[in-house]
Amino acid sequence: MFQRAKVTAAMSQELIDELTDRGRRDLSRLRMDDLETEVYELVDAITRRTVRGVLEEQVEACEEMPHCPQCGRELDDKPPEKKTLTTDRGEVTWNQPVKRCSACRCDFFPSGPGVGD
Amino acid sequence: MEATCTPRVERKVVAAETTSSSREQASEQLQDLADLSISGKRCQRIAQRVGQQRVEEREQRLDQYEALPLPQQREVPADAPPGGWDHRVAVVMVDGGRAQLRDERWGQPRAPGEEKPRWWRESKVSMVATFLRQSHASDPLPEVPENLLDPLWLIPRINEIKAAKGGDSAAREIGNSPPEEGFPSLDDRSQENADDRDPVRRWSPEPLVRSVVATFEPYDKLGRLAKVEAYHRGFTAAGAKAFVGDGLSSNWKIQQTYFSDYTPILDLLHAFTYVYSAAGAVAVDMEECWQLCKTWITWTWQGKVELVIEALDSWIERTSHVATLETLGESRGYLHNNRQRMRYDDYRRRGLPITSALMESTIKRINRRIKGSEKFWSDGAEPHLQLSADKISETNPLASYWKKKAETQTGKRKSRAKA
Repeated sequence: MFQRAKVTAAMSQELIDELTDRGRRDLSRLRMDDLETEVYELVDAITRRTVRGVLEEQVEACEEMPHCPQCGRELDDKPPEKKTLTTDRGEVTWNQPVKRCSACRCDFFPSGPGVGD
Repeated sequence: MEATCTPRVERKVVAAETTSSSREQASEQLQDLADLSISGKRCQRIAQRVGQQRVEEREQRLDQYEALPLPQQREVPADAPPGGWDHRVAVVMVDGGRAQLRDERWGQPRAPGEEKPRWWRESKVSMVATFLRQSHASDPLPEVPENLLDPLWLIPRINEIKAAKGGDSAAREIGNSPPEEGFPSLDDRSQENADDRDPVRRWSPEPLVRSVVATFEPYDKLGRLAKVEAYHRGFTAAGAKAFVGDGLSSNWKIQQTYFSDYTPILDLLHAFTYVYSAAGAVAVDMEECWQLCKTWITWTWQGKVELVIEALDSWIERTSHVATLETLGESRGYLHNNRQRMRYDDYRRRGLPITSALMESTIKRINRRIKGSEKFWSDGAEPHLQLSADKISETNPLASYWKKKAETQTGKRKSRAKA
């Protein structure tokens, strides 16, 4: 956490470099409205990406369910399911792991009183 | 499949839904103010879900209170706000708004000769509030304030109450038939944006903190909800308590059942409405009407309603015109039935509020979202009403709701079967 100030400074500098084309962009005619739009679009995109990354890490860390709670059989892996979340900075789509019990024909995924429920 | 919203987005949706006049407007607000693209229908669905959870919380709170032994119900709970009751009065006000609610008749063909169905139902609202109080040895303001004797100030307000109430609702205020509608309202600016031009504020105690409960269920349920709210606000310990409402019999049933130790007070402006109607019925012209009105208003203000009733009796004896008799009888009945709640001189001496203007403005705010000739509610009515009440409440129950909700969203999630 103590790194935050450092990270913020470094990221801001990266964004400034990107927006100013490392000093090569002519900013003399840049209107405030355009400046805000560009900055917020970029920052929002980063925010969405960060939220997605943290959510995926959170899913990685959640409790594994190796066996079906109904019949006790081992669960099979299924391809992850795409989930969409409306955040304050736009929609974030992330992959949610899914397990399946072929005997019960039931899919299991990390949920419960999680985000947005 | 519809995307899930983060709690942060949900909070914004609920804020927009409760402050807009429609779901479409809420959606526009979110777009304009928060750059959020959420359709009106989705806004409504989110608000309905959150509102339903709030209704469930409310019911749970009610059950918990009613399960308490009686002596405990009379105590001040641990969660009551700290602070004493010096120069404070605990006030409960009750009133009704309106909304159109669909029922099983919706979409059904009408039988031959069957009347067009009416969808209007009453939203029952109660305000539980604290006011500043200053008691006096005698009535601090025995003379009627100038504005109340100014026809340009008073008559528009009276007309507004009369227009909003409608004919059969007015009859219910006098008689004992069950209430269904009636939504008197005053200009909310007179209370909410009080300034030097606002004379109402000068002779009314200053409101401090209000919380609002509301339901489409019967009036008794409203009384129980208000009782619970008053309990959690620590009103049991208050030295001065008042219950203010219009003449609707259900209001006073709530007062007698749940707030019997509160001083019952009829809203002054409602009393004036009936005084004005009677004066208008007997006077030959506007000048005479206003002169009569001034005298009767002065008596009413000074707590001498018996004099007004005597004057009306005298007019009734002298009149044979049927319509006039009807109006006089209506006004007389109203004033007679409420005379014990019209001791305005004494209430002012004790520093109690004598108008329900703050309640009327609360109803207006709720009606903004709920009421409309083009708005028809089904399951969402009660949840939306709950959210509207929460939003107006200065005790901020929604903040506790979001906080509690956030506590359950820890990220420690177990796998579960897909729904």
